[in-house]
Amino acid sequence: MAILLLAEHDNNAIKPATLNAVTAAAKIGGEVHLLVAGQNAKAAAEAGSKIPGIAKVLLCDDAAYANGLAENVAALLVKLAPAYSHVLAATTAISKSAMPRAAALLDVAQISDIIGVESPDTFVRLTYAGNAVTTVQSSDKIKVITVRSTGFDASPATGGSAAVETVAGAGDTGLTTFLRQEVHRSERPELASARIVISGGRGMQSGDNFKLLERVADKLGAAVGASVSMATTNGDTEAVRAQIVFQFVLNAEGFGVEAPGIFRPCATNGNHLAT
Amino acid sequence: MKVLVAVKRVIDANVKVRVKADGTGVETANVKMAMNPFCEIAVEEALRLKEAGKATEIVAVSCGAQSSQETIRTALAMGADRGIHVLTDVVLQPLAVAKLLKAVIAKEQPGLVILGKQAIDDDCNQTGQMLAGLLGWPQATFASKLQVEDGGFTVTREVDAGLEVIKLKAPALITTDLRLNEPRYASLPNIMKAKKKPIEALTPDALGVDVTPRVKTLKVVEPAKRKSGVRVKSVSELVDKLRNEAKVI
Repeated sequence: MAILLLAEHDNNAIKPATLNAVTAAAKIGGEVHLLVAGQNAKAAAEAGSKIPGIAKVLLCDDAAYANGLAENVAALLVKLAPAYSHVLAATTAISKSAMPRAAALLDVAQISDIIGVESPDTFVRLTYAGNAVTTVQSSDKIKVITVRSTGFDASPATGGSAAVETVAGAGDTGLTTFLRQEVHRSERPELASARIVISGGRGMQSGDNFKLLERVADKLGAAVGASVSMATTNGDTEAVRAQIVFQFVLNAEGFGVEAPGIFRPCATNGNHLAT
Repeated sequence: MKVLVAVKRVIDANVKVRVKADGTGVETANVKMAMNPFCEIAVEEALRLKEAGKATEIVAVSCGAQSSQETIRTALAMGADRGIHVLTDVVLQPLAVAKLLKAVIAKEQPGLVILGKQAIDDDCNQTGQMLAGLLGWPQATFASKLQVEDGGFTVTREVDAGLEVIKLKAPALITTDLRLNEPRYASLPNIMKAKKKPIEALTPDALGVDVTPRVKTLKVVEPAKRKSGVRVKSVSELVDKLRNEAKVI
């Protein structure tokens, strides 16, 4: 039994969410191979080789993977997957798009966004927007799984020394063309991978009052989020989960924290933060 | 261009979901059902394409029990032209739905397929990507803007770092994000008119699709209760709690 873990990276470094997925892979058990697919991604592969618990890094350096197009990434996963019992990835925009596509082409189900591992075929995930905790068992030969970062502690990033092996790509499907990316300019961490999120809900009364949260967030190095109701009011969504969320309210007595609690924080619209 | 939209019947987004005491699932008896909100956005986008003269016909498809017809009727009342219902009492999982839709698409030959990015019940976020893969079509998930162009589509997608713009060859599949549009309400005359629009009935057997579930639900429980908040008296107490209790600074 071996696990193929798709790395989320920026060609230079491995993104933190992948470290949480490494912990999930360790709970499943078996040799873990980290797949770094990108263009000029040697530095990311070398960073990946230092993660303890990674037995081998597979570097696939090809222009087809420069922008993480789902069609190309899925084709690569389909090519590599038959040698593995599990294919894992942290839940990110790239994996959310590519992993189900690969699963269908392998004729297996996907288990999305797991927060727990009970055994190599049994996993825990949230349904109904976190209102139900569901334990599921897969009967498929290859388990395709995305991992919610907040369900697992991050593994250390250094201390290991895995070999980096170059693998050939699966070609460019030519179905889609990347035109451009419009990155939200924000000094704050990305909401999806932030350790701390400052979140506001209906208690903040209106989107304009989020300026108060932004100042707190900057002090703590946190991202700013909003509850579903608030994000919907502001015409936005995309629920994310952070390890620590503070919910702030604004009432007659002033502006205050409601206490670290549970959360379905969402991105507010783009001018507030990076989503 | 024919546009095919897949719609799912789910527990209404405004209903507080209750987990059954026996841990087999959530309570669905006497619970208000509705079209999945992201599917509404998919229907709306198709309607806007038709109103802009870019689409000629909109076909709404739903797979599931007899009651799924109500969701198709909702799409027809919003303005879709006709419906297709794949009837089965098997609880369908994303891979099975993708296979059923693939078989329907082989018959219908649409130029564009639009789905919601995820259903608010199982929160899988899989069906669109799986269907695009099975079809060998380009896909654009989490779309916040769609433009129809010669021989293809330009789609703005919501990604982790912001927005991404990609170009897709036709035919293509798109899944909707919340910012794509704001769905309309069906007017009373349109609700009446929708009752006369045709819904074709199909079955998984007739489409030659095996819908056997691949994933077994072992148990469903309520999440841990949220602890109630505390009011702090001073900034120093807050900082102390943040440092020593929450351990975040």
